[in-house]
Amino acid sequence: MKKSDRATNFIFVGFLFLFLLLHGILPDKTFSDDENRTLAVFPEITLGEVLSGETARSLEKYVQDQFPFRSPFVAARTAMEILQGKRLVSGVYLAKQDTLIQQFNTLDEERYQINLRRINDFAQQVDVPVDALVIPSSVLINEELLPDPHDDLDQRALLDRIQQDLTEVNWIEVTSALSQASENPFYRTDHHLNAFGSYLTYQAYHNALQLPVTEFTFETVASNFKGTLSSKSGAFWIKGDPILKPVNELETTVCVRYDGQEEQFDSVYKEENLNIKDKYTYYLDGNHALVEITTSASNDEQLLVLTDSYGHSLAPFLIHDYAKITFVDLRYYHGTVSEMLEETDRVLIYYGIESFVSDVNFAWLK
Amino acid sequence: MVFSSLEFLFFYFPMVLAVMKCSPLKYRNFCFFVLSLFFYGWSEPFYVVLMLLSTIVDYFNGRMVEKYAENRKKAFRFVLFSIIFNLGLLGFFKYTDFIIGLLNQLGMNLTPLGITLPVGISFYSFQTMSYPIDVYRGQAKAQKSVIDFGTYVAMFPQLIAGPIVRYKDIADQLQSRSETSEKFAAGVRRFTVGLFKKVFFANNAGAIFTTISALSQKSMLLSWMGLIAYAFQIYFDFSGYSDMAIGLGKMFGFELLENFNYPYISQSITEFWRRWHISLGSWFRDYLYIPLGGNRHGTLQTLRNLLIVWFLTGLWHGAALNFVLWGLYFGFLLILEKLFVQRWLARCPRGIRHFYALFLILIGWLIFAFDDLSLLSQYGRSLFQFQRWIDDSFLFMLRENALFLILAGLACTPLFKLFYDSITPKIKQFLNPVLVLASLLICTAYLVEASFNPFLYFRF
Repeated sequence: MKKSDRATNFIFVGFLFLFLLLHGILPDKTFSDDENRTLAVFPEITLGEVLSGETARSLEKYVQDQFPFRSPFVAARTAMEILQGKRLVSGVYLAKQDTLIQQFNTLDEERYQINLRRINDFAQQVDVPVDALVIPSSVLINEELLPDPHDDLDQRALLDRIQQDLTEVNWIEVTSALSQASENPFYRTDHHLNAFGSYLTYQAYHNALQLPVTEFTFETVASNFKGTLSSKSGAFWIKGDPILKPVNELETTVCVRYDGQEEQFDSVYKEENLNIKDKYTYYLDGNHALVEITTSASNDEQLLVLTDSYGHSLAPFLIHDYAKITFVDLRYYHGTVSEMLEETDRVLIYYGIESFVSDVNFAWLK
Repeated sequence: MVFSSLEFLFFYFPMVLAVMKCSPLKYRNFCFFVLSLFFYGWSEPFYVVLMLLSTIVDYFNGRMVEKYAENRKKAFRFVLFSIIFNLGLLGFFKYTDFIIGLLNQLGMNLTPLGITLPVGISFYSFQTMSYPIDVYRGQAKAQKSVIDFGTYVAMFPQLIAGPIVRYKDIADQLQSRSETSEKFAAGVRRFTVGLFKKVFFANNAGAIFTTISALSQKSMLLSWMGLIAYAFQIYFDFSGYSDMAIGLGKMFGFELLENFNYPYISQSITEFWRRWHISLGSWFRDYLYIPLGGNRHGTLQTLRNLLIVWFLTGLWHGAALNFVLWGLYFGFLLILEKLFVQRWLARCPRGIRHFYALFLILIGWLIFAFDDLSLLSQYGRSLFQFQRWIDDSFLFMLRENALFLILAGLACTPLFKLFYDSITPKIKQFLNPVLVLASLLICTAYLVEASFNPFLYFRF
């Protein structure tokens, strides 16, 4: 046994020292692509903070955030959860056909009431017609891919309820179009609609308003986009999604301004973002408080879209139909929306259902 | 700092190892003492002072008790002083706000002091208190060296969550203990078993309980699944911590007493308390129950003594009414078993005895789990709502966790141990290092993941 004991001791002590050493040698990272957040760095040490225990806490964060081989360890843990027969890991279903689907099983009733009241109040107060297009989540659309039973709230009932409660707003039905789609309208590794899914919502919107629908085909501009659900679940081995660019023959030019800045861009796409981790930011450069797009469309209609990040990939489909499109993201835009509506013909509220019922930022809607 | 954390495993522990294996024999206790103070002071810099105070006071008490060994009356004064001092500290830091809350409920209007509980005070105050008593009873000699005594009190493996080590059990080891590679390897194995219990079993079981108890609507079966998960969590958490403490002790030459002995295979509540948190039960027996007279003064006094002991055992676990209730609940069950249930149980088949014990243990954990009494009664009702006995959430949770729950259930029994013992030494030679490595890798993955905190929408 002596040899075996020595081997045990060597492995144990060696393991601990190896990672201590690696921790010391490997350079610290300030940002994690996989998690999309800044990481803790080595804290400054002051006597006051040592005595209050603050230094201990920041050092603990530092050790965790900079741990060597973090991502492989996280993936290993996810794999072990799956080995135990689990299909829900960190709030994400590992569904059939390598599809990741975010669980949606709670509704904050109070928040729901507040949000719907604020939207109704807003719609009543402004003079332009307001439409609402609430996108169901992948749980409803891809239910056949989910394990049975799965633990989610009844989304169809929730959508019906929202439709009924939005008394001042024109409801745009999109669920059936997404359910009957010929292919998955969602990314497999991200919670957003993909370009094809966004196209379907655009069609549903214009069909409902009896407006002409522009035709598009799709061109793959990048592959292996691993989205938020990949990060959240730790299932890093699941291959990414392609990023699609909607194209057609029309030669509409655009001029895009972000957050009221001087600088203007001639495309709704950010080519350079295809090289970063969050490739979804290819569309409208990701999150901005305010995006103003003026186009050469032979039309003087103006549209204002109140949206979360789902709106980004809707933008390319609207540019041929409107002279001006304004995207407002209430999470970051805290100005008065009703004062922007002088020349606006319609308002579209375009949200994913989860943020629609849970977002606290409708407080800024006035 | 807890053992099941990255900073303990990959920073503090390597440091301890390096220092201890380099320190000359003479300074071994001094180094261990300083390292332990660092361990404690890491997250509680202020309360180190409190622990040192307690150490010095009882060091002094021990010396005085020995000095007046011939004069029992005088010696007893120092024992009394130690008891009052330690219970005073514990009472002030742990129970002041609880008592203020109770008085306020009775109509008074006092402001709570907002004291944060010093980590481990319930454990070390019991340890230091036992020391002058042991000396007074002649069961141990007074410790001459304040460093050696400090090493006993502050010893980091058992400082925070036990097992409660009694001075007389460890006095000799403070002077001389052997450190061999066999003992170190045994410590490593024990430590990794404990780490695995805590990180894999306790944390995952805890996640199940948290999910289920947060649901506003839960069927009967789902409520039972939640309660069973809680029973797993608390056992693997606590016994895992004891395993780690015993393992760490071994690595540095100490032999600590066992604290758990497969409590869930018990066939009665009396047996359960002989298998659960053994060091606490025997502490209360030796320093409270027996001095109160134990069972030597007739049935009525025995019952009184049992109730006192179990009232205090409950209160020791936490400053809230549910813990008192929990202690008294077990006190009554033990009394009933003593009076007649055990005779009745002896005639039942074994399966019934297991069911009886497990059912009552689970109800005990229900009382233990909720310090909010309205939540407790709400959860309690959902355990017995026969009209809504099953729902989709239960089927889902069962499908997700069935394998884990089965594994956890088996791990509560001696089955894995029996299997391991049946392996030939030849295979064990290879198996041991492999198991240690596998366990370390798995635990590290879970620990790293616990800090994995994707921020999915926006970076401010």
